[in-house]
Amino acid sequence: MKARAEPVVWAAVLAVLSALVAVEGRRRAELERQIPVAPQELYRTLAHSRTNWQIVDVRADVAEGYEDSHIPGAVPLPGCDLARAPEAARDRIYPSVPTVIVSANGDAADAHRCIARFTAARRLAGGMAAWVAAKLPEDSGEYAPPSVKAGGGCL
Amino acid sequence: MKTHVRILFAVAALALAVGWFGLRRGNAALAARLSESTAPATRGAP
Repeated sequence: MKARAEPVVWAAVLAVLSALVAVEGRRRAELERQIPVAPQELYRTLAHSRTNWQIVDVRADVAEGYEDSHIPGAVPLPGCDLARAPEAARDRIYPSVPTVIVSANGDAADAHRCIARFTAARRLAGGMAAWVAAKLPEDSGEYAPPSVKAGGGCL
Repeated sequence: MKTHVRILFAVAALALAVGWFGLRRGNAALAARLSESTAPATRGAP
């Protein structure tokens, strides 16, 4: 191989491999979007992972849904419409943070409409009904942004 | 081209190749899991 051509060949090889990795990475993100997360799996992730997950509750009725019972730390986004979200929650919804969408019964059509808003999002399998049935920790009441004081927001 | 630069390129290419294979395997497993979860529940039905 000519001395001048060799770096070009290496660069081409690295570029092709990088492109392959990028394609597979995009495919991974797409597949992960489609696979629902089970309540127990979400609980374990929240309890042990250092990843900062965002839980978005998209149940349409805030009073009978979110305020009655919700996953601790969840942010209400009724019907996936930012205009209907409580004012305190509006600037607490981050599109680029890994997100779990919680609907009433884990309906795929409801969740997928909302999933498109986020860079990396999955739906909770069975929705809030499955979370309650699994007897996992619940919270109730209006949305309150996390306090800066220590000790809040733990499961 | 110096040998150490060549080694550097080779290591980078190997790391990318390993990453690509890992992602491919992971994606295949995820796709299988997805097709299992979306397949109609007819298995074991009379």
